[in-house]
Amino acid sequence: MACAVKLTHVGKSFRSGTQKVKVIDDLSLRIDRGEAVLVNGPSGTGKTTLLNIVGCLTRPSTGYVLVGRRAVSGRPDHFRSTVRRDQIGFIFQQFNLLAGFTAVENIAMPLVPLGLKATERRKRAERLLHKLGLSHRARFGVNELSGGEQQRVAIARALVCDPWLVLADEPTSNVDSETARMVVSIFAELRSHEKTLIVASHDPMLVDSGLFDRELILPEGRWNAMQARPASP
Amino acid sequence: MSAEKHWSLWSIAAHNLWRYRPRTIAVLAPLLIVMAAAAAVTLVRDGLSRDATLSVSVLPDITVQRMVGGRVERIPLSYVESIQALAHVSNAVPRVWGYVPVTVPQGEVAYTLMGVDLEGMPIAEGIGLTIEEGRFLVPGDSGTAVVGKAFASVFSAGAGDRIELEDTLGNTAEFEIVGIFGASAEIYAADLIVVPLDTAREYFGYGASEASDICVYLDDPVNIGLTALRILEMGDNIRIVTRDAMAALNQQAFGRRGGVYQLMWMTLLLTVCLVAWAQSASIGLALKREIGILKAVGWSTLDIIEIKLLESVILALLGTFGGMLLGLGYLALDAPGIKQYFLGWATVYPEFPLPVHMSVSSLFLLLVIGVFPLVVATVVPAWRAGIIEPDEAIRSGP
Repeated sequence: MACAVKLTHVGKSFRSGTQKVKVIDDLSLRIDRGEAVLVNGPSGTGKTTLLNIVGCLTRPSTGYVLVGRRAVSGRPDHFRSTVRRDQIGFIFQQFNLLAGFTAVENIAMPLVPLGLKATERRKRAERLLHKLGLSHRARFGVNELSGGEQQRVAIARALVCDPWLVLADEPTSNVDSETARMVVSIFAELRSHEKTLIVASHDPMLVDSGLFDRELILPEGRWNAMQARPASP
Repeated sequence: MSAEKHWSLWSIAAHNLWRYRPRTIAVLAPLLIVMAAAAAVTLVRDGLSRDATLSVSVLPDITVQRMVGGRVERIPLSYVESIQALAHVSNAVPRVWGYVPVTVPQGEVAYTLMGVDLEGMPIAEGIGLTIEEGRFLVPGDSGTAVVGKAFASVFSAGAGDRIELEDTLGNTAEFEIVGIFGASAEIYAADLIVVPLDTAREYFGYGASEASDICVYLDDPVNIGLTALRILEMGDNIRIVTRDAMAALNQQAFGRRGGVYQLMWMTLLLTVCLVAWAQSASIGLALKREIGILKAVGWSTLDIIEIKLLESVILALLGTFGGMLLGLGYLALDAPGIKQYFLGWATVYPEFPLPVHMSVSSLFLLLVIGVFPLVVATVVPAWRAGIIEPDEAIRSGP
C-alpha cells in the first residue's frame, strides 16, 4: 500500500507564558493511502495538533513529516500552501468560515488561487451544496446559518478541490444528531472513493460507525503510550 | 489562468471594502478631504505659476525706466534712439501706461491702460494677445481700444461699443472698443486695456517726447545681461527690469505661498496615515484570523498580500481621484479662502477666472502621496499576519 502520511519522531511544543508545554512527544506513525484512521483520546491531548501538523497548518518542533511522497515539515510557506490547496481538505471543529461571505462564496474560496472563472467556481460550489442538501441556503451569509448548516458548508469547502487526504477535527462535536449522521454518511462516501481519512474524535457515533480501519488511542493523553487497534466492526 | 486569478482577487478586494464599510469610510472620508485640499492648492499654485510664466514670456526682454527720488518717472524718447543703436537690440519702442480706477459691483478695481507704438511694437500675438472679436489696433487709430474678455464681460461691452474712463486726476476720455482679446495668461490680460500710443499720451497728459518706459527687444535673449549693462551706462537714473528677473520674482511669490499650504496638507495627510494604521491595528485580530483561514484552505502568503494591496490601492485611488474632483469643484466656486492668498493683491485687481493647471510632476506627487502611505499601512499588517502559521493565526483571532 502506498504511504499517505508518515510521521517520524515528531514532537510539538507550545510556549505558554514562560513555560514550554510539550503536546506531542516523539510520535512516529504511518498511514496508508485509502486508509481511514480515527484518533481517539480525551480533550486537550493534542489530537488537533496532530491534524494541524499533518494538514500543514503548523510545523512540528522536531521530527519529519511526509504527506504523499513529499516532505512538508521543513518546506517553505508557498510549497505548504500548494499542498494544503491541492491535496488536503480540512474540516475544522469550529468550522472557521469567513463572515461577510455567503455559503457558496465560502465553499468556492479554495478555488480562487487555482485561477478558475467565477462562474466555474460557483458551479462547483453549488453542486456540493446540492449534494449536502443546502442549495436553498447558498446565498445566505454564514451568520444566518445554523451550526449544522455551517458544518455542512465547512465540509463542502474542504471537499471542493477534490483532495485525496481529508482531515476532520471533532466534526460532530458542535452539530445536531441529524447533521452528525450526515457527516458519517459523507465519510462513508469518501471511503468508497478511496480517500484517505484521518478523523480526531471521541464521539461514539463515529467510534462505533465501522468506517475506520484503525483507531489510535491515547491513554490519558500520552502519545508515547498510543495504541493502535482495528476499529470496531 | 493567472489573469483570471488576479481578476478574482480584484473582485474580492472590492467586495472586502464594501463588506467593511465603516472602516472603509473612516479611511476614505479624511483622505478625500486631504486630497481635495492638496489638489486645490496644487491646481491653483501650478495654474498661477504657469500663468505667470506665460505672462513673463510676452514681456520685452528689457524694460527701461527712469527713476527720480526712488519713483518711476517719465522717460524722454531720446533714449529710444540710443538704445536702438546698441548691438543685439532688434527693436526699442516707447510705451505709455497708467492705472485707471473703475467702479464695479465688487468695489473699485484698477485697470491698466497701455498705449503701444503700433509702428514699432510687435503684432497682437507678439504681446500675448489673441483677437477673438473685432480687430487689433492699426496704425492711424485714435481713440480706439482693445479690451480683454473679463473687462468686456464686466461692462457688457463688445466690439463697436464705446466706454468712458476717468482717472484719478480727473482725466476723462471716451474710447471705441474695436476688438476683444483673449490671452493665454489670465494674470497678464485681466486688467489690460490697449490703446494707441498717442491716445494714451493724451489721456495721461504726456508730452509728445515722453513715455512711461521703453520696451527693448533683442535678437538673442542670451545678450540680456550685456545689453542691460550698456543701457545702465546711459544715465544714473536709469532702471532696467529684465524678463528673467520678472520670472524669478513671480516664481518666488507663488512658490513661497504654495509652501505654506503644502505644510498644512502634509500634516493632514499624516493624520490620514495614522487613522489608516489605527484602523488596520484595531481589526488586527479579526484580520489575522481571516488570513489564517484563507491560508488553511490553500491561499499563499503572496495571495493574501496581493488582495490587501489591491484593497489599499482601490481605496487610495478612490480617495485621491475623488479628492481631486472635489478640489476641482472647490475651484469652480472660485476657491474661496486660497485664491486671494495666492494672488496677493488686496482689493484692486480685477476679477479674472482662476487659472487652473496641474503639471505632470505635481500629479505624480499627489498620486504617490495619496497612495503610498495607505498601501504601507494596509499591507504591512497583512504581511505580518501572513507569514505566521495558519493554525497560530486562526487561534489568535476573536
